[in-house]
Amino acid sequence: MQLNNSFTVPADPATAWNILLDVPRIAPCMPGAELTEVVGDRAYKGNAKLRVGPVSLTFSGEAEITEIDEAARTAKVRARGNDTKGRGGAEAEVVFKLSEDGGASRVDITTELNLSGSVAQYGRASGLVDAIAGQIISDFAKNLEAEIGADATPAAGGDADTLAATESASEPAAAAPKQDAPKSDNSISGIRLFFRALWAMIRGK
Amino acid sequence: MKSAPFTYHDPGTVDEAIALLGQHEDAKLLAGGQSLMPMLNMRFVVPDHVVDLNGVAGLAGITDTGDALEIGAMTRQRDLMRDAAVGAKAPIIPEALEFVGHFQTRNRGTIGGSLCHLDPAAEQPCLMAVYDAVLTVQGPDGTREVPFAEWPLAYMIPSIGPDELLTKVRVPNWAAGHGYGFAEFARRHGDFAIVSAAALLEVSGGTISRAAIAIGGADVRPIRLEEAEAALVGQAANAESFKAAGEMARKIDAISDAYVSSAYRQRLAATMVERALAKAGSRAGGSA
Amino acid sequence: MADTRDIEVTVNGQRHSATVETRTSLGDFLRQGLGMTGTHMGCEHGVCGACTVLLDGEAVRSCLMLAVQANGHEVTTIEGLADADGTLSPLQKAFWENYGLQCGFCTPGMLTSLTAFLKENPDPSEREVREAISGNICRCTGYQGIVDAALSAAKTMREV
Repeated sequence: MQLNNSFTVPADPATAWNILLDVPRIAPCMPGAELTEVVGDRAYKGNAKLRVGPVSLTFSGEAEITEIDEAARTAKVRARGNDTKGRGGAEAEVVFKLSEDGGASRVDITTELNLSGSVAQYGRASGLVDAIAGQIISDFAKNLEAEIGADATPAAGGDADTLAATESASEPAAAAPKQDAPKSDNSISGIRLFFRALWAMIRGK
Repeated sequence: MKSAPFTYHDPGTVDEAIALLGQHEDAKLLAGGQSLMPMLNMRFVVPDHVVDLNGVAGLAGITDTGDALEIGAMTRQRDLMRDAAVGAKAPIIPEALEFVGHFQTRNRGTIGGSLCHLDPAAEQPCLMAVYDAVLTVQGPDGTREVPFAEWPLAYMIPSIGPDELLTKVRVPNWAAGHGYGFAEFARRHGDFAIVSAAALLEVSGGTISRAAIAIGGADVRPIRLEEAEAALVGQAANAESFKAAGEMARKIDAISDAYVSSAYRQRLAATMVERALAKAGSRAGGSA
Repeated sequence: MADTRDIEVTVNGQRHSATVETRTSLGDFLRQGLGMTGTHMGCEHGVCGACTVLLDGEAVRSCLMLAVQANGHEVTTIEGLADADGTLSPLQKAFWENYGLQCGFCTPGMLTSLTAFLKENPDPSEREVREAISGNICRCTGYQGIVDAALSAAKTMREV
C-alpha cells in the first residue's frame, strides 16, 4: 500500500537537510523507536514499538539510506522489520523530499508499505495504517521541532520542558493517566498515538 | 491453538501486583480470563508475563454505601447477577448481564476485566456510562478516580497506565422505584451486541424528572444521548416521548465494519433506545 | 526452560498432583496430563462449550482457564457424572432415551452445563433450557433431543 505524508521542520532547508540525515540524533524523536546499532555509514538497526488495542507489537529490523541526492534534497530509505513475537513483518521503501516553505522546510514522504503475516490484517482495516502513519509522523515532527528548538536556545533544561509541553499539548482533552515516562522511553506515547489514530480512522477523517 | 510460553505470577496483594507490573514491561493482567485467554490461545497477544489477579485479596465484593454501590473489579458477573443489593438498587445490571456471554463465561468473567478490555460492543461499559460510574485506579504513586466518561481513551484502550490496576467501580444509586431498561440486538443470544441501549428514568406524577440513556456497540466508546436525555425531562413518560428519543438516537455517529453498516447501526440504535425506554417507563414507580 | 508450577487438583473426587507448564490450559491438563479425554477441545476460544467442566460445582470453560488456576480446587468432568458403579445420572439417562446425542462431541459440555443448570433451576421452562445451552454448540442434533432430555431429567429429578 502507498502512504503519503508530510510535515514541516522549523529550519531552513540546508539546516533541516543535515539534521534529518543525522539519524542517531533524530531517532529518539520517533515515537516508539529505539536505535540499537549503527551498522555502516547509512545503515542502522533498531526497534519500533506500537500498540493496537490490547495487542503490543515490537518490530525489530534495519533501515538503510539507499540513495541521497544532495542537490535535489531527496533521499530513499529501505526499511524492514519483523514482530519479535513472530506475528509478521513490515517492509517499506520510503522517499523523502525536502523543499523550501517560507523560510522553513517541508518534508514530503511517500511510502510503499508491505505487511506480511498476522499483522497484515491491520492493513485491511480501511484507513487504520494511514491514520497510524499520520500520527507517528505528526508526533515525530512535534518532537523534532522541540529538539531543534532546544538546540537553538542556550537555556539548560529547556529541552525536557519543551518536550513535556509538546507532549501535553498533544494530550486528549480527557485526563490522561499520569505517565512519568522518561524521555528515552517513547513506547508510552504509543497510547496517545493510538487515541488519535484510531479516533480519526473511525470518524472517517 | 495453544498459548506461547510466559512467566506466570500470582500475587496475593494489590501492591504486589502493581510492583510486578512495574518490574515487567511486557505483562498482561489475568482477571476472569474470558477475553485474555482466547487472545493468548490464538497468540494474538504474546506477553512475556501474566499476572493472575484471582488470588489478590480484597478486589472482589459488593458494598452498599447507602448512596452508591461499590463493586470490586474482580467481582464475577455471576455474583453481580445474584447479589441482593445490586438487584434492589441497580436492577439494570442483572438485566443487562443476561446478555453478556453465557452462564459458563459469567462464572469466571469479571466486571473489571470487561471494563479494562473495553470491547466497543461490551455491555458493562455501556452500563457504567449510563450511571456515570467512577472508577478507582491504583498505581505505584497511589490511587486516582476516573469518571467513566474519561475512561475510554481509544479503541480498546482505557485510561490506565501500564503499571496501574483498576480496583473498584462506584455506581451511584438512582431514586428508589426508578425505571430501568436494557435492550440489545445480536445475531445469537450471548453474542456481543451489534447495538445495545441502557435507559434509566425517574418519573413522578407521570412526568419524567431524570433520564439517562447510553448506547453501546455503535462506537469505540459508549455514547450518552445527552440531547435526548435533556429533551425527555419534563415530558410525559409515554410511548410518544420514547419514540422521539429513539429518533434522536438515529443521528449518532456510528461505526461501520465488515458485517454491519453505520446506517444499520443507526436504525438499530433508534429501536433499541425506544425499547429500553419503554421498559424503563413501565417499571418506573410514579408513572401515571 | 519452561515456566512450571506444582499443582494439586481434585478431579471427580480424586486428588492429583502434577507439575504443569504455566501456559497449559485446564482442558489440556485434564486431557493430556491426566488422560481424561472426555472433555473435548472444540474451539479453544470459549464459544463452542465442548470443553465445559465444573469448577467447585460451577460450569466453566476449561479452555479459558489455566491449569495452575485450578490448584486447590475441585473439578468435575464428564467422567465424574455417573455413579462409581457406572449407573448413569438421570440427565445422562435422559440423553440416551431422548436422542440427545449423535456424534457425541458436544455431549460432555452439554451434560456438565446442564448438570450445573438443573441444580440451580430444578423446574425450568423450555425457553430457559434453550437459553442455558446457548453457550454449547451442537452440529448434529438440532438441539431438540437435548432440550427434551433436559426437561425429562428435570421432571425425573423433581419426582425423586
